[in-house]
Amino acid sequence: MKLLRHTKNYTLTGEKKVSVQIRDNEIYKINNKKASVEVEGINNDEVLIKIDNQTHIGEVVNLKQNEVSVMINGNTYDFTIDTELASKRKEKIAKNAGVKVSKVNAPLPGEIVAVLMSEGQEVHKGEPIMILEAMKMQNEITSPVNGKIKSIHAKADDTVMKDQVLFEIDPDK
Amino acid sequence: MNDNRIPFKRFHARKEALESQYDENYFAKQHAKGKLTARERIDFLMDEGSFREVDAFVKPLGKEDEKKYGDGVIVGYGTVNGRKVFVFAQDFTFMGGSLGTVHARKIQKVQEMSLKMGHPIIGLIDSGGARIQEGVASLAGYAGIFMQNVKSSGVIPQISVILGPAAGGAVYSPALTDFRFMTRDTSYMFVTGPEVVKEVLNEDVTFEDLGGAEVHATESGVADMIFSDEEHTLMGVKKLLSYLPSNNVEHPPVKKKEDVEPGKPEKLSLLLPDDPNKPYDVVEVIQLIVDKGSFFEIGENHAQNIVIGLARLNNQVVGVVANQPKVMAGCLDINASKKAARFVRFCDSFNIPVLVLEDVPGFMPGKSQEQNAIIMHGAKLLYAFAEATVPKVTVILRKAFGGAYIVMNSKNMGGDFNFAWPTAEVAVMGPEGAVKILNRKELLNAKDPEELKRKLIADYKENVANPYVADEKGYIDEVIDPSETREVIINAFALLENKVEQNPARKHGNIPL
Repeated sequence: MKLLRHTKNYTLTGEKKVSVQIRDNEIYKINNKKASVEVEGINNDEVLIKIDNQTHIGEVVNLKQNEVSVMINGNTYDFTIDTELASKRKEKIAKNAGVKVSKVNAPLPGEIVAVLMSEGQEVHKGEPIMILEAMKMQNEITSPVNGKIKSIHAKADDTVMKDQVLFEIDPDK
Repeated sequence: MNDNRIPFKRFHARKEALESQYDENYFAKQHAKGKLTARERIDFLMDEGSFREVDAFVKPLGKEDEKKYGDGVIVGYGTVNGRKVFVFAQDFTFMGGSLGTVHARKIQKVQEMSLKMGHPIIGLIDSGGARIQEGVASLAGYAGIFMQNVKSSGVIPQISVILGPAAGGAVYSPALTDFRFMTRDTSYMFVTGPEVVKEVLNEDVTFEDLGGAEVHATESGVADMIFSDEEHTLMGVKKLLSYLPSNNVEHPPVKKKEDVEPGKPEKLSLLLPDDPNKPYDVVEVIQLIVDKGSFFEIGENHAQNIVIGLARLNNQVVGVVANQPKVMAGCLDINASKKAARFVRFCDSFNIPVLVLEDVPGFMPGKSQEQNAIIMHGAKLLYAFAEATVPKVTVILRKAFGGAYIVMNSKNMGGDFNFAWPTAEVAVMGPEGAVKILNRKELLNAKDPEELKRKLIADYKENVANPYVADEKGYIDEVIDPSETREVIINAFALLENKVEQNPARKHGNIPL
């Protein structure tokens, strides 16, 4: 069977959006401008990258599915790699869905031992907002998204049931 | 180069006719939905030029005048990163990828071939369901596919990749296979669609809520892996394949790489928090123990209180089962038991040794768990470990309490090697609970019950909840320094290389399903 598509378009989404065209497994265009890119592995996760005769040394810090963190010159860059189609589809879905308030429920019954943040505060994804003691373990209840705390529905020493709403986050756009 | 002799003329004409079927229109239909065509999927999955199609020229039953070949499914064989595999890809552009008699016969043909020859089979599923026009014959077609799925189960790895709808009977073939991959926003699986739900139950529900990739990856656990687009989904399949043997008599592939970079085992001692009631992320522990970057987590969004996945230890594949203290304290509940049990049985089927990292406070208590039969579901994991004859090594990181200790591949449940870190607490129950029961009267009469409780807990930890009692009684083979974990378990698995163990002959056991 003959190869159907030699050229593939990808969109990298980090702080900025960058389109990358790949032809025969090599980067061919960046943001629709022809580019010459050479990538050379040094050891396991370290790579030497030459972009239009500029050389950078980078390290792949984290690679999970299509989410990548790369460290270059001491700065860490997080981005996702999608095919152009998938990236467009995601945008479409995000537009239609609008901004949804994200509710966080108690994963198991227990007692709130501490509330670490207050309403109106900015939070990052994965940042602990309260501590729920259950199964004798201090479980951190974290924010599922980047955003602002809209409301908190439990205080220290409260006993909560499974699936009870603990707090709501207004996600960043 | 075209040969002009008569037999070759016809040969080339047929090839051209097949090729012309895949015109621009063919691609446009799928691309408009943000999906790839069956041909592109195969092209992306298989090594370049390796795919050979079989039964390319068949036509639907009773429609000999049909212009298009193939009856809505492309089947064949080829290689994925050099490994021989069979594959079938349903083609949504032909009658909605619906399953008719001939379509089903083609799938069964490659299923039979893959079983006979002992190579993995990958199904790329994108189908509207049974072909209504062909009636019961198409249902019989599903039955034939299911029969082959069951026959092949535990003999060759079967992987289902859902890249479009899979409704009704179509969902049961993936359910019978070893792994299900789904793509976000474009793939759905349900037994009955939203329209039927509306009609029968008068309940409004969206495709996404009923059987979207997200729901199956988190709530139901039907999807083992989900990805944001089809290319990444297929890349995930390739990665998974790299850990699996081709069949149940082969051993998993050994990566040929001279220097393995270990994770950083010397960091392990620092990873556990001082307070035993503080959570940590066990995935970090796994990553520090196994070969760097080799951990491939499966089902990471479902029953997150247990972590399962494949990894390499000194280039040898192992299956990892680890309690996750970060989620629900790492306790075993119904979903976690089911998830881990199925994985352990998969590993055992395909000669993949199992590494258990244990930090479990117990089974999840409560009415909802009991009413939904945690007894039977927990027993699945027990059964799976006890039945598994592959090398099994346990490292107790911290808590190992009660029934959950027994279940997590304890020495007397057939664990080949059981190690413990100095931080381990092996006991019937945790210190707080035990003190309350053992010293109920003293605590009631005490002047300062809190002070007494603290003292009793300290005593209990000193005398009971530590690894040394179990060590001195032989329930633990050795208490090890966390930093030597990697070395010790690599050595243990090497010793176990020639392990031969057999369960008594029988038709099959009766696992508590």
